[in-house]
Amino acid sequence: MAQAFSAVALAMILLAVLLAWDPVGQIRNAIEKSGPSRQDARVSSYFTDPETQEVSNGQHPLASLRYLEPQWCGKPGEPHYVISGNSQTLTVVLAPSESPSPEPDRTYPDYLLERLTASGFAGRGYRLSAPNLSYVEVLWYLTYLIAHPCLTPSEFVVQLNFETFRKSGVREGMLELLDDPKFAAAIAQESRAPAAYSGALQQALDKYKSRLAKQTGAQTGAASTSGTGLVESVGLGGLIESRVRGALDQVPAFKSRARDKAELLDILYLMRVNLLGITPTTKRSLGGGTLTANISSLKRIGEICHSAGIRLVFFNAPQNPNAPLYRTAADREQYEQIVTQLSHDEAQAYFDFESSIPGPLWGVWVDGPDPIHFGHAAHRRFADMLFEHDVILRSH
Amino acid sequence: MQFNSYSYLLALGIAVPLFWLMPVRFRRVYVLLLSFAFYATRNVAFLILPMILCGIAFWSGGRIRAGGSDANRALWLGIGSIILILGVFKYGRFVTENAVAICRWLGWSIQSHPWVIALPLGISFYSFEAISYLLDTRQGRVKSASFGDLALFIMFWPHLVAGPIVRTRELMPQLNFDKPFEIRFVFQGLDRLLLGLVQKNLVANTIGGWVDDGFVQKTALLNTTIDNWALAIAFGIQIYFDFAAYSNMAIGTAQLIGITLPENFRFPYHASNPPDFWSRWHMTLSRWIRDYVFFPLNAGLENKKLRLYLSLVAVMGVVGLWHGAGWGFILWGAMHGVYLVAYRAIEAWRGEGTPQSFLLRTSWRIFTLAAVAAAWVPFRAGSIGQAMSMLGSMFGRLTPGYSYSVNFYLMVLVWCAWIAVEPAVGQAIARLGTADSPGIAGALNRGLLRPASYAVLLLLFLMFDDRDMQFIYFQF
Repeated sequence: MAQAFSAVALAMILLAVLLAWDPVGQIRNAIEKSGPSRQDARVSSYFTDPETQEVSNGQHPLASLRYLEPQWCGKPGEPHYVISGNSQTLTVVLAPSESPSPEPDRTYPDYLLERLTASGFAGRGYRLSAPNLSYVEVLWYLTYLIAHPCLTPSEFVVQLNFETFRKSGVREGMLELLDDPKFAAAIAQESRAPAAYSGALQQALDKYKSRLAKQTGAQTGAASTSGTGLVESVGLGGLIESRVRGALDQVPAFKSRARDKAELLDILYLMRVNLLGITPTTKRSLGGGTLTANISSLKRIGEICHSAGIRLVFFNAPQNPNAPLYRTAADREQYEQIVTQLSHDEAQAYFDFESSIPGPLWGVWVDGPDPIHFGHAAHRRFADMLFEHDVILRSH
Repeated sequence: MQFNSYSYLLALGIAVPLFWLMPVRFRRVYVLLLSFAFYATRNVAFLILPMILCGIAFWSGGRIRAGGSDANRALWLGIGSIILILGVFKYGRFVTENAVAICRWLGWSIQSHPWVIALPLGISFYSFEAISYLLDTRQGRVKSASFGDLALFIMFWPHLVAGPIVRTRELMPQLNFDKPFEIRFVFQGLDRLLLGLVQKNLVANTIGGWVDDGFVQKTALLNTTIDNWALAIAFGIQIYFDFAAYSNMAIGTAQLIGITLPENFRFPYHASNPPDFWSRWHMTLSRWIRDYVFFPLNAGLENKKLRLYLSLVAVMGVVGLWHGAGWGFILWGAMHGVYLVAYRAIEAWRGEGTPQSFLLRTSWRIFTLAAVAAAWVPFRAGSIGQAMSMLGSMFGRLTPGYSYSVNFYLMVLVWCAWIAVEPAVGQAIARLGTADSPGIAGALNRGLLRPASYAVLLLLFLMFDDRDMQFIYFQF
């Protein structure tokens, strides 16, 4: 029996060494070094202002929106606009001719607000964006704004982008908005709608409930869906498990397992990029349930804006002419048809800025020209374009 | 307390050494108490039901052994009572809902009330074990058993909640716990336990998130043909790794205290035809159904093909119903029944025992994989309507494109590839030797290879740990 004890003890010691030494991180770094270098010129220092931006970029929007509410409530009758979009609205990737700026970088929504303010616009603007934002998430955000009269904007600007029609669902970070009872009630109602987007909302509600149950220690999972409608009690087992986990979480090496998992997933991502050549910019077609859910979300956004008296503006986002996202000509045609139809049916105004930024002003990413992110100059230029085209009405 | 919880692993780390250190005469009581404690951590009240079943089986078993004209009556009374209890707890709601639906369809006004009886964990498993005890007793395979023997047989915690479904004759004789300690118990037990932990956390839980998203009722209606095939295969991967994980952990736990439980899986997706699939998938349920239901029902029907085939579909429908009170499960079972009939009928038409050509063998292999994947759709779908919509898109109404992240489809491909090489990997590992190999090979295995492997497996288990991710088969 001593042999068995010593083998188990040795295994535990080796496990502690593995947790402390972080072999996954070592492998990740080695792969990163051996692969093509990341010519990632993404700017890391950004201008932030909680009064004009959702500063967590979708990770913790509840705090941002709760901060904004009293700011906007104080000025009744003042025009407010919201711009929602994907990482293009909040990221600067330097063009080959550009160098990092000594100042925190601004993106086009910041420049646009500056220009509007300078021109005498007596209102406020807010960037409600997140990387890979789906239109279901835009609907999610709009539902929150509508549930809070002070936050309801007079103008809602939605960036349309080929890439975005491939994104689906509601991310983990945005689920916290369901802590707000008014919003939770509104989403519960939306999730019952006979529309394609409602499945994603139901999924988000289920995830939130499951997360809440785990936080409170309530039992979840298979037994609760067994068809009897009854859930087992938390019981002694749940209590013991909570205590054991609580104790283990005090051990620093043990806590590092989440980091190890993130690093392992990063390795898998790098393998996908380096071995299979599937990058975020690999051309793909639109289709399937994701496309349908996004279109139905945009239609619902149109209905909500219409009934709440909000001016809805769609604009087709700039795309890098050197890195088209469309896989085939049919993809492009399909996208144009979707955008034209949606804009005609739902929006008060539509602008097509797809070819508005020249190739040299675009950034460079892992595998060459970045299809959706651009540099300093392009952000300024695009803000000017939005201003000049009166995307935001200067007088209401 | 779940096998993949920290508290269980910690408790096991204390309970197993104590088991081996205590005198043999105390071990039976000790294991029985551990089993009660294990089940009671879910809900103390749930202990009542298995005890009632033990009582019924003990009473009936005694009468059966006494012989005489009472024996058959006692057998059927015992089996009937057990099935009645199982039916009330597991199928009460299903029966009531369907009865109400039929009444309303007939135009009768019926007031229905929600069915509020908890489903005690593992009821399907220990009910079947109690029935197997009665049938084995009737066949003279169990000579005598005290109430303690029976309670220990039914409540033995490694197999209590989700199997493997053991026969009385294979487990009861081992429950004397009089084997002397052997180092292989620890290493073989830990091998299986840790493999199960990784299968559950790394594979089943990871792919399960995608499956849950894809099978949401409203979302599923938007899926394309590729999505639905990928989801059907993904669920096949999830349920295999989930249940095989549980079985591995059950077998490993029992092995740690020197008890051998029967195997439940033997690379099921390597099956060469539908009957072969059922000789590899949930093997202990297959043999239970074969021995206690199919053979007795169909004795003497060899020449009555149609009755035999109908019986096969019906029995498989019952297998589906055993899994859960829902039409989706019944459809899943019936589909498998049809596959089995199709294979038998074609083989009978070709002439029993005629060798299969390479092309035919390959065709059956591909058919089996596709048919098993398709059958998972009603098993997992929220309703028959959803299942039909997904199956329709898989076989008839072809829709282009794909809806989910490319990572999902890649993950499905990666795990399919793993399943393909799994037996070869198992053989390669076996060639490295065992912990009780003689000489330096055994010492190296015990002193380095196994501890290092355990550390890596534990690291993977911890990295992908997600609290309260239950096993799919807990609901059956």
